[in-house]
Amino acid sequence: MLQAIPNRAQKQLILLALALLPLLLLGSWLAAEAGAGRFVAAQLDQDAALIGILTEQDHGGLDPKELAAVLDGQADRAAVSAGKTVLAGMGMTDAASRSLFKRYQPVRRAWFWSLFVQSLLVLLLVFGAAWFSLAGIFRQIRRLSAAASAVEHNRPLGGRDSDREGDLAALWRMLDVLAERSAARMRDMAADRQFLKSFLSDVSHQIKTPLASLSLYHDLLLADGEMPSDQRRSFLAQGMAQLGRIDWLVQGLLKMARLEARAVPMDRRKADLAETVRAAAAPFARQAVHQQVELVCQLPEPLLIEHDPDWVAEAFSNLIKNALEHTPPGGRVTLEGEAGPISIQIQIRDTGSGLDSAEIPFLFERFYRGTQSVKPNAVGIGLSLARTILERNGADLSAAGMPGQGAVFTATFLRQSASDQP
Amino acid sequence: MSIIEVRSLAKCYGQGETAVHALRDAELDVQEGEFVAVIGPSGSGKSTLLHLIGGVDRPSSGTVTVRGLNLTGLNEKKLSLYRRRQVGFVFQFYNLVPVLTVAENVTLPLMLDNLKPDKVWLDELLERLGLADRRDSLPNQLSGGQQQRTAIARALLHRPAIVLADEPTGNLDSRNSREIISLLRDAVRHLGQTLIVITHDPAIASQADRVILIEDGYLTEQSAVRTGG
Repeated sequence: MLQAIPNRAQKQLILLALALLPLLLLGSWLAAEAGAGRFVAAQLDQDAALIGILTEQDHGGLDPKELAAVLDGQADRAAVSAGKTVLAGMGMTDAASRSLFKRYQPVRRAWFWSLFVQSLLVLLLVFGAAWFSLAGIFRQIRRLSAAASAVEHNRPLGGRDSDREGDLAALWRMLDVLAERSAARMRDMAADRQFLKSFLSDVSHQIKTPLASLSLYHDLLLADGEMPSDQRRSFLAQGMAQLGRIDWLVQGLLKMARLEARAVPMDRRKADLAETVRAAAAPFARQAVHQQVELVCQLPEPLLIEHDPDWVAEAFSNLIKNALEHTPPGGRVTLEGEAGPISIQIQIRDTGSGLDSAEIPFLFERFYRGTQSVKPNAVGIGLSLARTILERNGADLSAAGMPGQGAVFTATFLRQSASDQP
Repeated sequence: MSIIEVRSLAKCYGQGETAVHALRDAELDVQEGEFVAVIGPSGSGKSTLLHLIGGVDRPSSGTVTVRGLNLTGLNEKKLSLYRRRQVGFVFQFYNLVPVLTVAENVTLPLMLDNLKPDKVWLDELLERLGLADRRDSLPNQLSGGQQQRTAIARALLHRPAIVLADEPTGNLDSRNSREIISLLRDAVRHLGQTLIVITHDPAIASQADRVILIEDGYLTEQSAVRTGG
């Protein structure tokens, strides 16, 4: 029967109860013996006293007062020993008379049973209470281990008593935390795998095209030794353009891969975001003048917020580059900042061809090239990179605009971000 | 691991010739921790999809499975339990109780469920949503953005597995809209929750991980037109 009980504490409880049973028997017997013995001894003393009084007072009759004292258990010592002497003369000593005493046996039996039954009841009660509380604890533990195995197999945790208090509740909470961690890790791993898969196919696809043109130009140059020099020059120039494109692609992709793999730590510290944006815009000043586009920075106030200034500047330079590319001569690219109690928002506004509402949701996808894309050789990596960098800095990037009304890109930095991503 | 699996889901209101097919044969898998935007013209079935996933409405056919739990097989009591424990709703019109303070509005659903709100979490949530100094204000003393942030706190307090938002920024200017979406996204990312937002605003959709388009009840996984080369 014990084998059927899995837990040691419960087995020990049963063994303890079984061991207590003979002890109870023995204890009840001893107590009954002692109690009944004393009771009978008192009774015998009373009898002896009565006999003593009766034998002493043969001639003078019974003194009612003395008799009352005896019945009240306050017998005169002298009377008791006198009575005992008489009884001894009849061959009845204390020990012998006790065993003969007819009242003794039932008294002892009654004492024994009442003691035994009472203590057995107490034992059963204590045992039952201990058993149920242990069973409750073990039931909780079984549910905990079921939950732990659910965590291991990535199933949701079920049926917990989250509003209970105490050690088990603390264990539940810990298990919850572990489950959340484990689930987050699994998600990250799955996302990484998915990223790697699509990334590899994107890379090969993106690099194949410029490589194919490059080898075509080389074939042509090799095949025709007599090619006029201006034609050769034109092929070489086109080859250079393809090389530049591959270079930008490889650099951008490496950056993106390192960011996505979290191989680069973000050094997020309280710094002036306005300064970061100005630093990002500065290198474009000449290009803007060259393109006859006005590049305006409207960031008068310092905007203190946690971010990695180097990387965030890189994100903004991608956004500024994109804005300049889509703005015709005579247009304007405006950088604005707005600080509120919850967030700081930086906007990059251009007066270019604008955005089609159908394409806005997908602008930040890797290698997405808008329908308005002006540069045939553009690779859709800058916006995607900008978004990845900003997300690593706890910021969101969104786009808005209508065809012909220019585009607005907004980076939203929360002042208090919960998901701190190292 | 898909947290939400939608299989050949359809919802039809009315019968015969007057029947309106709000949703037809929809298939959708949402991963845990994902932020999905659902876009489409008004009356295209966006809200119907959200209501079916949230267990507010029952489908005419097909199944919705959330964390392995098939919603179509649940009785009304279990479905209501699912709604209260697993789902957080955010609506366009905030749905705050006007006579209750911010803190009371946020904790109301838990109170109705006879559960004690987690004090530490409540304070953190209000702090993060910029409502810490507004906790004793009444809704009509708040701006639209603040009211919606209160509604978000209410939706997040019981740490639901999925957060469903139906045009959460429909009444807000674009600055507040971006802020609301950023906050929602930040909060769900922190807890690994899944976020589905219905919107007609492409700018909101551009903030999402994935965009789903619904037109005339037909759901299409919208993916970028990839122009190679």
